[in-house]
Amino acid sequence: MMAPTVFVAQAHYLHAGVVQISLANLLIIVLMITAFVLALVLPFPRGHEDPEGAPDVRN
Amino acid sequence: MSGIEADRIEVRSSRNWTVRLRERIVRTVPRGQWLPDRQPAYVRSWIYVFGVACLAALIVVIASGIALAVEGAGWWHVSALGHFVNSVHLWSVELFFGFMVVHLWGKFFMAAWRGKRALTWITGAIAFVGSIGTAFTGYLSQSNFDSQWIAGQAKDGLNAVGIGSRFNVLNSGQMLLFHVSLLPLIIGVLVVLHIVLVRRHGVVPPFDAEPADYLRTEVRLPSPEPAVLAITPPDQHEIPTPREAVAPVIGSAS
Repeated sequence: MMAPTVFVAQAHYLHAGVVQISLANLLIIVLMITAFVLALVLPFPRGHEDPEGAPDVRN
Repeated sequence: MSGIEADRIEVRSSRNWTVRLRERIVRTVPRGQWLPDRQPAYVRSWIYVFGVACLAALIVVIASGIALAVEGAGWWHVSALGHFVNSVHLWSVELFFGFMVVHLWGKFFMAAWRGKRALTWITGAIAFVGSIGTAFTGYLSQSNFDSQWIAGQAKDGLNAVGIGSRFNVLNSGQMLLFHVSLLPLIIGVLVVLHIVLVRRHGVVPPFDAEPADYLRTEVRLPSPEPAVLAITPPDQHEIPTPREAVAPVIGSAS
């Protein structure tokens, strides 16, 4: 009985001089930088009011 | 004499190590700081979310890892549920590292070691490096051709930098034990220390935080009434920590 063969897709690589990076890794880095920038610029939702009427955080 | 002063005299004179340990814990993270429901205004930013996102991902990593350890390689390689849990383990690790890197960037650019927070920074940095080692041994523990290939490549790399004599990445039993016992234990202790230090010293403020952001920071205590603290306006190099501000209030309340 033959063992199942697993076909792995060929990874795409980008070259720039001595720098070589796979497309997947580059996308992950871009995603993390995007998350970092969005975390800095996006407004945080307002806090809930508690029963005593004081906000969760001061404005 | 306040209640805290009396307690300190009692602790110094106590030969009971249980009492000394209990009081040490109370002094390290006073009552009201463990799970605070109030934070300073500057915490109202998405950049402060990534630390707790790391913790959430780590919980999923540990839970899925326990399931994999209980069922074994014969399960995660062949069954549908095993494949699923294996993938959950992998992707929660990916998210863990992604969140941790953004958390690291945020803390680096706000110089999070300010205000006596050096040990918080150091424990986080060591936990990050340790997590890389844990993830690496995880790749070696897959028990497939991928893990064999990675071990072969890593053996050459580690020998090249001169640390190959300390452990053998081709020894799958040793690497599996590193992955499921030694390194998780180290990471777990470091993470607990990191969280305790964050709770003790508070969240680091941004550079442009106004003194008003520190003043009258509210900390709820179980008794007798919620305390309103007056914290000294900060200096960039000597930022007051919540613990320093909380201690006299607790003392006066007791």
